[in-house]
Amino acid sequence: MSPRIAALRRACTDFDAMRALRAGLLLLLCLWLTVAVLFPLATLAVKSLTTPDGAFAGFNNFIRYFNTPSLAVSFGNSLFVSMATTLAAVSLGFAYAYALTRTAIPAKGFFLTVAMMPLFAPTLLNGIVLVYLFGKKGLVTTGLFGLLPFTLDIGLYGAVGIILAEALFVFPQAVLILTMALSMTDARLYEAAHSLGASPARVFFTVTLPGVRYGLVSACFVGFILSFTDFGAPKVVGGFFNVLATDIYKQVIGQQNFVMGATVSMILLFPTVLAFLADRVSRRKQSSMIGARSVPLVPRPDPVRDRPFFLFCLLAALAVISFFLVAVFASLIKIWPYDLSLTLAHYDFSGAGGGGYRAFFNSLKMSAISAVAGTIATFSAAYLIEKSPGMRTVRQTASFLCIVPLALPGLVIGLSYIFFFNAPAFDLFGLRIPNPANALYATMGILVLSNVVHFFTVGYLTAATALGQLDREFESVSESMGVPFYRTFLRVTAPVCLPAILEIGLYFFVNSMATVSAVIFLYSADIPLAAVAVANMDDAGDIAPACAMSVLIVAANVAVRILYGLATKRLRRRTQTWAGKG
Amino acid sequence: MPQRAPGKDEPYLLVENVTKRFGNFYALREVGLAASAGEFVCILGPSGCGKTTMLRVVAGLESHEAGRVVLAGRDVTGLPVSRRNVGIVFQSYALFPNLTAAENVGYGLKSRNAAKGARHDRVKELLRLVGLTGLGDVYPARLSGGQQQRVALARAMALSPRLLLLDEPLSALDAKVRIMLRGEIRALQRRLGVTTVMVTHDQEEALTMADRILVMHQGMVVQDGSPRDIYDAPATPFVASFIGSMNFISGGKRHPDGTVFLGNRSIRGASGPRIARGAGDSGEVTLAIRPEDVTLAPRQATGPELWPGKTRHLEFRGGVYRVGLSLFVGGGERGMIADVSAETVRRMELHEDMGISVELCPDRMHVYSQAPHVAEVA
Repeated sequence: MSPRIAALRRACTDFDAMRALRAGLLLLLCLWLTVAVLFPLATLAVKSLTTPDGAFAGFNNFIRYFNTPSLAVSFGNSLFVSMATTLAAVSLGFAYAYALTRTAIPAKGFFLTVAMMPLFAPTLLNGIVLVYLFGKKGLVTTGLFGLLPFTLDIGLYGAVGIILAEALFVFPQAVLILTMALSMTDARLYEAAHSLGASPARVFFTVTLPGVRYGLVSACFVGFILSFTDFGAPKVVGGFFNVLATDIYKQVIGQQNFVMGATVSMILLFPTVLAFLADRVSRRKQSSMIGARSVPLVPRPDPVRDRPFFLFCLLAALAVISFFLVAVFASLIKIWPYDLSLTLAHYDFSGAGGGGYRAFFNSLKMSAISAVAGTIATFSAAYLIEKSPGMRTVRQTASFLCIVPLALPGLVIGLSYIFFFNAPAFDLFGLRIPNPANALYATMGILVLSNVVHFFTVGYLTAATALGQLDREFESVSESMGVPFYRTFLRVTAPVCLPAILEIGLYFFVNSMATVSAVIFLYSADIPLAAVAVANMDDAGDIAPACAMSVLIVAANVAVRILYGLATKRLRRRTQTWAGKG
Repeated sequence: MPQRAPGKDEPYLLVENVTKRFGNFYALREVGLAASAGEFVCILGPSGCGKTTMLRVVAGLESHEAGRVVLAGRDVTGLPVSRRNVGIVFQSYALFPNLTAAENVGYGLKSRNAAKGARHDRVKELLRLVGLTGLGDVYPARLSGGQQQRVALARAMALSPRLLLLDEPLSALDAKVRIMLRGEIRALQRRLGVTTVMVTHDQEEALTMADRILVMHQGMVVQDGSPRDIYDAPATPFVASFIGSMNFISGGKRHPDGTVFLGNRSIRGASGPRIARGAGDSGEVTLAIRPEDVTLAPRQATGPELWPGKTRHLEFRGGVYRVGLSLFVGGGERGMIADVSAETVRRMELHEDMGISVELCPDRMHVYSQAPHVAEVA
């Protein structure tokens, strides 16, 4: 046998191993998602159906919940504030996105960047800044500390405060979804409408709105989910206005009533899952509306239309910017509002609880690890699902499991993780099965895992989209030449997808820095976290240090965002050598 | 790599009774294909006929329910593409955008652990072979469509495959480049002597390039033969109308003695008409003749093969005119077309609604028992 044939034969047997390896990795992915998502969720569901002693309770917990007026009222409250928030944020977001896509106003890049800024902050900060503006001693409430002849008390604490804070939180997401929907259109439709003599209003109602209706529906559901499940803002400005998210926290942390906590979590989960499913359906419809032969619409200048939109964007952007300026300002004021001299004392943290800089650096570390782990996990998952030959059922199952986390509020993930990882063993029909996951409890590992799971779906979808744009035959070509799949993955797939990979990393980092909902149940005294520290300091009345810590979180996120910007700029220059442009 | 034919009469590539289903839909129904070493075979058919699926089955990229594939005397059914040693050029080329032309061509060589120097020489040689000398350092996006196509071809040939598979390799190119590359690919294939299977929906491509053509329709092979055979003796009305143009004249009769009648005249020539297989011994038949085999004569001319007719419209096509005609058969009127040289049009002073005689040469006529499907004629 010639050496050439021997080498060929070796390559052949390798390829059977390659196929097995891929299949194994896919199964591993399914297994991991089952353990990290479904099992904890099942534990939570079981908990909501048992008594505190562990006996089966049926739906008694739920009946008790809805029969306790003080508890049941939160359900209505949550529905009310999230609907109001959605209405406000989506209306504003639509006007803003319309200005960015369908008018010829200047500084669109600036406006888009500003609109995205709230994504960098924990929602706790939204509440804190509102307190500084509209609270009892707020800037606006006191009429600029008495400088103005009038005062204005909007009655911040309660529904008003929550809606304001959540609207700011939802606004960037609404703008993102709606700019996407509004930019996916066919200029020919407008040319046809104009040539048929339709008035601008008629064009708007017959072409524009129908074209983005699924985007609008999607923005509404996303807005609803975000505000329905958010914990940070109502924690700070909710006052005596109870919502589901704060109830879960109070039941678990305040009263140690885990069963009721689990019950409320299930009640929180139900509308969320419904909204999530509706969103998935409308997204699928939106993506099928645009044809391959569409011509992008380039808006022409029209002062009558552009000027009001420019003014609107300017006001909205100013509102967002001043919001962050107030945060920075408040964190530097000695004693608001009595001593307005500047100080860095609030950045000392030694007097306040929460962990101070240790918490901040822990958060940086956790977010960095989450970014790396999350990016690897989501991109590999998307690669295995998108690019593996055959194995349809396994791939569909895996793809479904990858979408599930998006429907899970952070609080639900956090609480279900307590139940799942804290259990030393599970009793299954009298059989005692020791829980190996228990080793992770109260470690950095569980924090990272909860972040990776919490933000998994968005990363996965980004990766899947990027991979879907690659030629379907790359894998076939490589295989026909006897090149193992991992070499093509490293040499072609990953480099070509690098922009998406960096974007996923950024997403994981920023969200891990800002999130509080999942980790607030999972951090341990040894590993304090910045966002949790904000919540705890605010709880203790140390509102200025809480604000200072939030500013640090935003600063870290902005710094990473700038790094990302520089990296992608360099990358773009490099990829231009093989993109045929430049 | 020298290619030995495995046995004396055994074909180099043999595909037997392959059936492929997607759910309830049969993409391939017991199709077969045999190619001898060095042969260039085209699989031709309209979109959705199963031709690409057939190619993917041969490549090992698609599994199939029944049948087998034998390559160079070895049964490769069930083997993945990596174990068949085939070179593939995809419709999209699937060039790696972040690798240069040379890196693309050398991509597979790396995995075979060839020495670096030898690899470099081989890439250079391949680029020279496809006429891209000096363009090795260029990224695919900077190359023209035709150049990208050549890179894909060089890459497919890099590992000296036993079999070259081309999936609509020219469909993404401009008409001019397509015609030029047609000749180049064929010349290269001859020079290297590599057995090649190409899938195309372009009949002209198939006729000019192939040694043999397989016409596929609805997951089945409807005809397998040389380009001349396929064109001159199409097995079914579908093949007749898919490749080239064909006039179908309905209302013919076949008598029990075998004679074919149109109206009350028998159609009989020295060698024709050609009776297609499946046409019964007697009964209704459809006659067919290609537009270029229809000759026009002045109205007053007479002869056994002449039929009275009338021009309906003239379509200028450059060197030829396509003339729409009415043919008067047994009191009825049949529409047909004839391709007439510009010189004849001038000489006969042809114009619309002019009485003429139409000559239908029996040797060039075909007889089918089944009528052509309306959509197939169009």
